[in-house]
Amino acid sequence: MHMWETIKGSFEYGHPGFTGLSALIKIVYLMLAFGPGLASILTWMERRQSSLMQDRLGPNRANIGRFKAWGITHFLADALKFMVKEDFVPVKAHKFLFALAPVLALAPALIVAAIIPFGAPLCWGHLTEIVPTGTCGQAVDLQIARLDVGILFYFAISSLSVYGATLAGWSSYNKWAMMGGLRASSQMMSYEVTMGMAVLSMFLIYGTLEPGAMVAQQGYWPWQWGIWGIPTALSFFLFLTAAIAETKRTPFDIPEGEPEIIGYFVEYSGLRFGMFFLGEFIEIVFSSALMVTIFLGGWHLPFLDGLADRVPNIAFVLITHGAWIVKVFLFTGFQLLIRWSLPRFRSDQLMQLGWQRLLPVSIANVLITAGWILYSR
Amino acid sequence: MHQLHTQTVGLPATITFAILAGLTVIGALFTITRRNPVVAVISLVGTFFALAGVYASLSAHFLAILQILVYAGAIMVLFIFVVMILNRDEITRVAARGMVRRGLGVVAAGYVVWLLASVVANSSATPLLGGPLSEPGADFGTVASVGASLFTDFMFPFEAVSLLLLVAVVGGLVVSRSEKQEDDAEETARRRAQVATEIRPESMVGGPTDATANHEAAHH
Repeated sequence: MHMWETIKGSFEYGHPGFTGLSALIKIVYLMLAFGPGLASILTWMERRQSSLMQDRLGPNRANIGRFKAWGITHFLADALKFMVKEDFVPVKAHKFLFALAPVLALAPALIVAAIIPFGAPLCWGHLTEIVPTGTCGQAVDLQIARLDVGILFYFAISSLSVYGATLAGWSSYNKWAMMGGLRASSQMMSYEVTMGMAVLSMFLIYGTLEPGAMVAQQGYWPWQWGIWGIPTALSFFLFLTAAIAETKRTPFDIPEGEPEIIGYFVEYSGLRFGMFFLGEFIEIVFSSALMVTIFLGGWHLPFLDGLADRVPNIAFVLITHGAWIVKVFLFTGFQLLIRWSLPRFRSDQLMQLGWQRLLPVSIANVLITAGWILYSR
Repeated sequence: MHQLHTQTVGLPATITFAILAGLTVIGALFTITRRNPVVAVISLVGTFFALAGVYASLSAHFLAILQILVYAGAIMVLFIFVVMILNRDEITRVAARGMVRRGLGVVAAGYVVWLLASVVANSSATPLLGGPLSEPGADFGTVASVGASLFTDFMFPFEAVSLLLLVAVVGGLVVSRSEKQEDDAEETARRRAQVATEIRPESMVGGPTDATANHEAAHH
């Protein structure tokens, strides 16, 4: 009986059991359900959208019985195909690194979600009551880890995903894969610098690196969001460009280069290729989520001020979470739209754009922002 | 139970440290024993990652994340890039050449290890290690506190290191540029000479079709 009381006590608010369990639920929901789920749908959406833009039909046939929904179940068919296809490993490949590379491509894409706030904090024990903002004593953040280093965590972990592409290219023992791997590593390294510089001016404006605090500083009205302002709009543009380059998508798909080299994963098949494929789309989902957090007000529902004072806490949390999902979904759709609107760069143009155009502009942006903050104080 | 917690760091922390320290050492051993350079670099990445974990367990979160961001995420990527471009074969097990220099290196490394070991063994004599472990403050290791100490107490060393890095960057740029510019100048001169002697641009005024027409006209 005493033992039971102890166990039960450790699952009360603020105790290790409660903290651990709530973290586990958040991890399973965001990293294993939401991210891969939305990414899977995006794999279908990208093909369908491109076909509509090019006056084709695209994948519209997959169905489960009578359930068709414009062929949205195509991603399930894809997953099934990945699983039953032959897992081919080239004879001269480096076996260990060949197996490690897809893991290194997929894992960082999932882990970066840890810092993203995906809804207003829950008020434990007062779920059905109206809890005005900031008055809750037992708040459960809808954010897996509230780190002081915040967005630097995102950069640190996402900078590891370059190993996936590079090692895949090297370990395949294939010249085209090797070339793709080299291109991937140089491209991702170059644009990481611009990405960091672009977000640096946002750190200056917010005065914090913690995404939860950034969302709290942004208000309900769209003109209170991070993107509103000349230096921040510029950093949004720079960050978006660099983020698309980091995910190695058109117009920056040099490492894959479909007309010429077919990329660092050319020797991969089956589920291992699926890991690269899904990893790329998960990167899109969570980089969109990060941009929504920094620039587009996070989970704030636009035009509905003071909602927390009117509806029960649980409803408020669900509404804000829904607003966050809609924003992330629209933003990923915007990224797909860019892919099918712009022609691709040449390899040297890509390097020139990264180092000679975007980087000086982003550094100037940081200096101007810093000067402006200093002046306005 | 309370006695234990005040005297030592506690069992979970000890287990975490043992795992992370073990991974650090294993990664370092793999780095120097693997014959394949790419595997060696990846082992070093693993070492840095585990070391970042040790920093994080010491409440130095900012340092931990910078360790991953700078070393694992940027410097080692450059290493891999260079190793892949050079594409060296697996190194041979024992090379007779350079044994004296390597021997001296081993002696030097051994001296450093001996120094460190003697400091740890004499921990009571070292003021920093000998005293009781106190709980770090709430702002210990945060971005704000590290930044503040870098830009106030340690301003000079910080700027000196920045200058050193800048010198290295400029040096790298100069070394890579001077050669390339000479090559480019030579290449341009060679091309101009070739154009002047072989192609004779004045004969191509009307474009290639005109040239062939002239050629055919000359034959008839």
